[in-house]
Amino acid sequence: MNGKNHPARHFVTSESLSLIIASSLIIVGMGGCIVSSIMGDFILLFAFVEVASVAMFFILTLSMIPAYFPDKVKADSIFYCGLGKEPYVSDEEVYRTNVPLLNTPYDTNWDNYYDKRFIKLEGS
Amino acid sequence: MAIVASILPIVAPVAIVMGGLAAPLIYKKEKLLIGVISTFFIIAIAINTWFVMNLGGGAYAYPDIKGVLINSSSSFIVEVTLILGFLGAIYSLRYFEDRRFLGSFYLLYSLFLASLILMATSFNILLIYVAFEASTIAGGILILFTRRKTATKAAVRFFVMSVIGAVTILVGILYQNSLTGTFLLSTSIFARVGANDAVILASLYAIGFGVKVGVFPFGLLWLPSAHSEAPTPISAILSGVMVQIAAFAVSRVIGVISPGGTSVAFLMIGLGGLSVISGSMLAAVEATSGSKWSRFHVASANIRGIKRIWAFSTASEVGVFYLLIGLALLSPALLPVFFVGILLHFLNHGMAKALLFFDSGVVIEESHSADLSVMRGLGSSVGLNGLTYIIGGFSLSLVPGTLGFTTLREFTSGNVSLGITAVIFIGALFIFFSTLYSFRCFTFGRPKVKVESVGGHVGASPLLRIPGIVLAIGILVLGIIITFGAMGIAFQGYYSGLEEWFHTAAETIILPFVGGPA
Repeated sequence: MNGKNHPARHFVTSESLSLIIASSLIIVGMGGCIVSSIMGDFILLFAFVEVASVAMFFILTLSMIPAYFPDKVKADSIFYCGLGKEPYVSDEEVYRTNVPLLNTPYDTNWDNYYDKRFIKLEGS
Repeated sequence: MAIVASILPIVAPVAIVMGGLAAPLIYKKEKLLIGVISTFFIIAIAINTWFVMNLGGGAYAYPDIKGVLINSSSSFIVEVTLILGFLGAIYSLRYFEDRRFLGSFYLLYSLFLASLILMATSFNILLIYVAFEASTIAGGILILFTRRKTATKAAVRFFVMSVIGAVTILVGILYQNSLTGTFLLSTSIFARVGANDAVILASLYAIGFGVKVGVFPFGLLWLPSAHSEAPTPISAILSGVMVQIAAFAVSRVIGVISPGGTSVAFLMIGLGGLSVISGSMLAAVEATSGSKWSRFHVASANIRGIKRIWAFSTASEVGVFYLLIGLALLSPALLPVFFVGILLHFLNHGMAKALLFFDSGVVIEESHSADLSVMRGLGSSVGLNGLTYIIGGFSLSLVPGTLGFTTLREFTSGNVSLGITAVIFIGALFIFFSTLYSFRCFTFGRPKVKVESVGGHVGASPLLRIPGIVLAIGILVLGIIITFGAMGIAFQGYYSGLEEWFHTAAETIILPFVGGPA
């Protein structure tokens, strides 16, 4: 558990940088909305609403991307022979990526565009 | 009485949303759920049918002309949306295996339909834009209900492309406001705008909405994946309603702006023609060779996806709207004639495409495969839906006796050049071929690899078969009345009544009302 065994931690990854930019845009958008509504400039208000909404869309998209590039970790390799390392959790809790918004596992039966519960292909 | 009349235009979207809001509370009781959803749909359809039959050249607005406005053309679009939406709601009841999400599904489904209805019932570009964004959010989340990784990827593409389209429209809206000082779409206001400004504005709207409509090249980036990966009832609404309402919005916006010269007209005709050819060709390629050659797939596996064929076909059919708008801009005197074509194509493509997706869903449920290469011929177990599938495909192939005859008639009239007629015929031929080829595959075909059945057989629920049959009957009845009426063989009274109604409705695409408000 000493820090030397851990890979170097990058505090500003591309994901976090994108998130910082998008969050900043939301703040700018919302601040702009307040200022422009006080000024009574409807066009400016509308433009700031759009800045905020595009940033929100981006965050929504950003939250989806990890869902189809999931981290795959074999739970056994973590716990095998007591050589456990962080995180001390099961794949139920951390590594299985859920479908965003529905928060349920993917339906993997149809991964190859046929229902593998009913059809088996030669060689598969 | 005046208050009741003023709220009439919002009854349909409000009723649909109320049904959706009730769904999460009652989704565990199937009969109650379908009873409540159906009641709200029937209320909305009944009131809207009254609009269709009685509005004529008039209109109702809430709270005024800048808000929600329903006239003949809008009521027609809403009627098709409600009927297809109702059939989709019935279909969804037995479509999902995991029923835990049925409540949230119906809630989002109702919001999706309501936002589409709003998009068709306004002359305020700001309201159209807000409805456009709302439909993107609801539609994108609905795609995720397939709960597959590929669906997530398709939803991301849909979101990203829709946002690009929305931002382009936003630039257009801001530009419109700087030119006219208003968000209202009014021919008298735009008559005062300079020619160059009108061209720039119309081009911005044509491209911005074009992303959502799915015309070439934007459509190929998101449409085949989103429409094929979505749950089948959503595929039917995305293809049969959403892209068409976006095309209707384009016809309203561009028709009102009426940019002079030929540049916008040629832009529309070019995009439309390329869409018709590329989409229909790729549909045929998908049916025969699969995604390896048709491309634009979200998975690495090569499949011949039955729903992908019809998604490519949608990318082709939306081109017809752009062709008709371009032709109307080239000959402003014939604008009402071409806009009648827009309404009729909306009806034909909406019904036929929803039918084909509903029936594709039945085939997928029966064969447990969405890939034609893996499907074993269903033979007689495909049932009546094999026939209805053919009727839907023939209607898109412009075969007389089906609703497709209306589009055929539009493009074989003397008002259309031979080149454009040829484009439409080539597109129709590819779709005709794709229909028959895919039908042969799932009815009599043999899988390309050795397939072994495991786990027994669970067939498609009878409820999934009903929407396809209802739509096929509608396509045939209307198709026969129009074909025979136009040829002077029979039903001339009905035909002339329909023709008169459509001509009035076509004028109300760009005018809030003709004569005086209701």
